[in-house]
Amino acid sequence: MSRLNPSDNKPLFDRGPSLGTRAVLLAVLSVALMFLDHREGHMDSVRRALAVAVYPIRVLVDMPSAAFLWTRESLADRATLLEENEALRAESLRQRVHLQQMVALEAENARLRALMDSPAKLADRVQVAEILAVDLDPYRHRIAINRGEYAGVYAGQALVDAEGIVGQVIRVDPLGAEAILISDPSHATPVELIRNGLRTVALGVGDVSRVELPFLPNSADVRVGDLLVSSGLGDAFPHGYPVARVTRVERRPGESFARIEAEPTAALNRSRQVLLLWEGGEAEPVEVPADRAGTGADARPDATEATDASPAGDPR
Amino acid sequence: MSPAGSVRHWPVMLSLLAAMSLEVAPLPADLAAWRPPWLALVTIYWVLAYPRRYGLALAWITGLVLDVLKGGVLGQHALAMTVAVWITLHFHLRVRVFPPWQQAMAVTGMVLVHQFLVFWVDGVAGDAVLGWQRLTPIAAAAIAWPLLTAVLDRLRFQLRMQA
Repeated sequence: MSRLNPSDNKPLFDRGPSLGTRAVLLAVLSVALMFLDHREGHMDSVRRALAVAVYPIRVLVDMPSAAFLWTRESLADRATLLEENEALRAESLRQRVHLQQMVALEAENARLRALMDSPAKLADRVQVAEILAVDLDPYRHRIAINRGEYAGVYAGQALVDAEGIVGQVIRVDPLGAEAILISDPSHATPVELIRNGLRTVALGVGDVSRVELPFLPNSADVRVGDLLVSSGLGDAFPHGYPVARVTRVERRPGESFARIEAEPTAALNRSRQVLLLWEGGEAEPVEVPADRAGTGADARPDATEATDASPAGDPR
Repeated sequence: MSPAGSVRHWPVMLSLLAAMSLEVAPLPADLAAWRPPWLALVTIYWVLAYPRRYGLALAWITGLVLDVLKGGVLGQHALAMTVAVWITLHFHLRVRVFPPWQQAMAVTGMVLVHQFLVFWVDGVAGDAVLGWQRLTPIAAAAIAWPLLTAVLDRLRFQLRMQA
């Protein structure tokens, strides 16, 4: 049987709707999807199903860098490993000394809080998650992590690293989650100055090394080097985690607000691992093995490493 | 060689999967703005190659998958891809016989429309960033198109896929 074009099983003349009609229909469908997704948030089930389907792509893309880290760690020579081990041991010792005081301070804090009739602050639970080496969007500061709903992650959950607040989870899929960094232009972090308790908001500007504090008057008592911690207002982040350090204060006599910039303390674009925080869970701090917290090549966290992860608070 | 009348789907699917991986593969920060829109280019390539087999439906679905992969608004890339492929299908008889440089220019035009729609939806959704970085993917697409056609033409020749 001979056809005009053997690669083609379709009739020569299309009978269905014309090309233009089909294009317009699909475009309208896309716009409807955007409306439902962005304005109403009705498309979560569709997105979740597709997210499970595309998760292997994210893991696949992450593979080269994971393999590189794994190779580097397995091929590191003995001397380097010993040196690293030594350094970590010293670090651990230093932190244990700090922790000794911490017990006394915690007891004191609890007594003082009891005197003031305010509820005792519970310890936060943490779990290690790994950032997938995936570039989501060059115009937004978003990251993908390898912990999802099955690990008890919820939207709005705070992410920290060893140095401070990294961001918060904005979307949870069954296997992974997406988070927004505090440097994203659409993110604002409620903060307070640890020196004098002055409260304000730190806005991201799309630069990982900088956040801005645009709402402080010229007369505000801010100095270069001041540490900003999360204020706990707005219920997004727990109180008292470091956020940024003030790097620049420019008082402009003609304007009502000073121009203040700060540098995030967390390694926003350098760390491979982040900690998920469950605020005020059972008062049971998690042991993160010291040898894993460092470079973290083989640290696909397994069940033994993190505590059982059921969300303690309500998903907000 | 496959029997006459059948087109193998797996090279198409595999190249689309590779394009999706390239869309989110980590790049050095200085190069991130120069990432060509791989998925749009590969989709346009296959639509130009088999316009009666791959068309708007494929474009819409790949666009939707890319939306989920990149974590953007659902439908953003689906819309952009649909419109770009619509233009491709409208002009495919002419574009297919263009000399290579002219074809690259035509495809760049389609990518321009694609990128504009992505930007426009970003703007409506409220987080648009306007800067010269918006134009670099289009230039990158013009550079990437000849490479892409060389690789995929060779693949098609090796697999003896019908034109």
